[in-house]
Amino acid sequence: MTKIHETKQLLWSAAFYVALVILLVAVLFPFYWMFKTSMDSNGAIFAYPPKLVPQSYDFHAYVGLLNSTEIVLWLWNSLVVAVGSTVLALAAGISGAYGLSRFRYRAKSSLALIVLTTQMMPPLVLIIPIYTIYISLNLTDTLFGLVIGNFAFSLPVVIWMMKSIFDTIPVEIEEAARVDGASWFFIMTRITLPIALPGLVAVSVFTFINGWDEFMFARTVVTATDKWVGTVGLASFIGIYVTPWDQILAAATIFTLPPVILFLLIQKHFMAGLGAGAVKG
Amino acid sequence: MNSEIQRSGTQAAALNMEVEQRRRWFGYQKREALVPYAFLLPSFLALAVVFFYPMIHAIVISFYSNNIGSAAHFIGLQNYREVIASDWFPTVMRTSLFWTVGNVIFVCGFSLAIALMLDRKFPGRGLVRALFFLPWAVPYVAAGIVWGWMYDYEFGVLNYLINAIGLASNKVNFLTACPSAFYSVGALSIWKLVPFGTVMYLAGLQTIPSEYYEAAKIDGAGPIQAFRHVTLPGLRGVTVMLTLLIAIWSFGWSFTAIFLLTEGGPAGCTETIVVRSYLEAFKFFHVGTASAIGAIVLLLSLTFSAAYLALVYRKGSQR
Repeated sequence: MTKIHETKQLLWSAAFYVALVILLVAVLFPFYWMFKTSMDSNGAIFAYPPKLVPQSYDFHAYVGLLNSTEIVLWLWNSLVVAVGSTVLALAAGISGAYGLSRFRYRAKSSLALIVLTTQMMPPLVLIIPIYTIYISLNLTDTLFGLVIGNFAFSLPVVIWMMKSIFDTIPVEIEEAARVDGASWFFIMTRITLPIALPGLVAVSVFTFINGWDEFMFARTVVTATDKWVGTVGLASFIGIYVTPWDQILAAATIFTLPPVILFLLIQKHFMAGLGAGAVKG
Repeated sequence: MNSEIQRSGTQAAALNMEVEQRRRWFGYQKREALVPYAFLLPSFLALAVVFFYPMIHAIVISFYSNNIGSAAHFIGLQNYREVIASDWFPTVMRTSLFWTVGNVIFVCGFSLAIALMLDRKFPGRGLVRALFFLPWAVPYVAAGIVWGWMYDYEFGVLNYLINAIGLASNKVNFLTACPSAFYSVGALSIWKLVPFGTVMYLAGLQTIPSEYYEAAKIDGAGPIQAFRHVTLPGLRGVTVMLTLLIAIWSFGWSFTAIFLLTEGGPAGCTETIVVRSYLEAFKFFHVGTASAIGAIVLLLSLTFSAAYLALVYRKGSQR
């Protein structure tokens, strides 16, 4: 009896590990293939059947990329846009989230719902009017315009996520300070926010990655190549006459590294931060 | 004992008096009632400028003709009528519907399966979790490039792999034939969204008390029964949120994957309603038509979300 039970258990965990490894390989293969192709020579790229392991460890494509394109400038622009929009969204969003999480007043739930409604508006529909507004304000082809646009896209998400995080922090913690006569603003910045810090980190990274990733808006409002962000620069490689796959995938690798590294650094907080929203749902 | 009560009584009286004074002097209560709005002001001001104003602007444009600039004139609902009566509308709607339903089913299914696996204890779990979440952090454009390269007909690795495993004997036109292009782009979308669903489900799994599983075990429930009667009901809230979010995103937001891999082609079989509105706006310069499509998407999303939530929560309260 126990022997059968043990064999069954063993089979179960064997099946578990096999399934886990297969899924993991499927999930990670595109990363591997991106990096592997970026090191390939032309001969290796256009060989069929393709070689599954790198034939050489050669970074010629990266050197070529730095010499022949403005990738450094695009990365810098992406950084400015992602950081700028994150800072703005946090500055506006935190107090809004706090206002929606604390206090008792009549309009509270309908205001929270209004924030959620913004997620149902397809961003493309917003891009058309924002584009016409930008033309009249001379904001096309500026990084500031991109910062504002990305700020708009991420603000509702910041409000919603920070609200779920504040909701998990008991109000009782604030009451002592309240009795001592501290102002609400003091309580939010000095008492509640420090407790919410892990979640705040997750939300910041979430917003940063959204800004780094944004493509449609940047493609629409920016045409000057010196204002291109990474996504637009990267997409410009697609469909050109002779496709230098090694350089394109080298560019993709460089562009993927910052968000991936950032994510790996904070992934523990990320679970907690996103989780707070899920649990409430 | 007695004196203690007395003392606290006088303290309370003093406090009361102080509170009363503050009320009288500063209109304390009125001021206090305004505090939440003070917190909300910056973000709602920003939302008004960058979200609601463009939103209303878009809806206004949708009632105007497609002429550029001041030549555009008010035409009422004609853009809407033309969109709905057009020969592409049924096809585009069907593609969008399949795209949305497919994304919801596969993202939720894979997310739940992976979350259940990652919830078990095994060595190196933290690292494996992080690796499973990685696709979420990849910029869409970079992912689109890599997937496009893997799907390549002549030199792509996927054609080689499915031949080597024996799944197909001929090469597959991953991106240049219908309906395979639809599935190929869908696979990228699912790959990108599953990490998000996995995080949500993992967080949901933490909230199910282990006592429930113990109770189920004592009642003689096997792992499958425990999953059906403890895990699934415990994940109900997360599933409602996740299906709604994935549906809204796939219906109204997914654009980059399709745009980069197929631009709606071949033969329009990956042309969702979002892709169509992009083409109308930035290829044909039909701004009025594009805005009308957007307003239709918003209306459908709102109606669907409200109906879905009403249905789910009414069912929930009956239980």
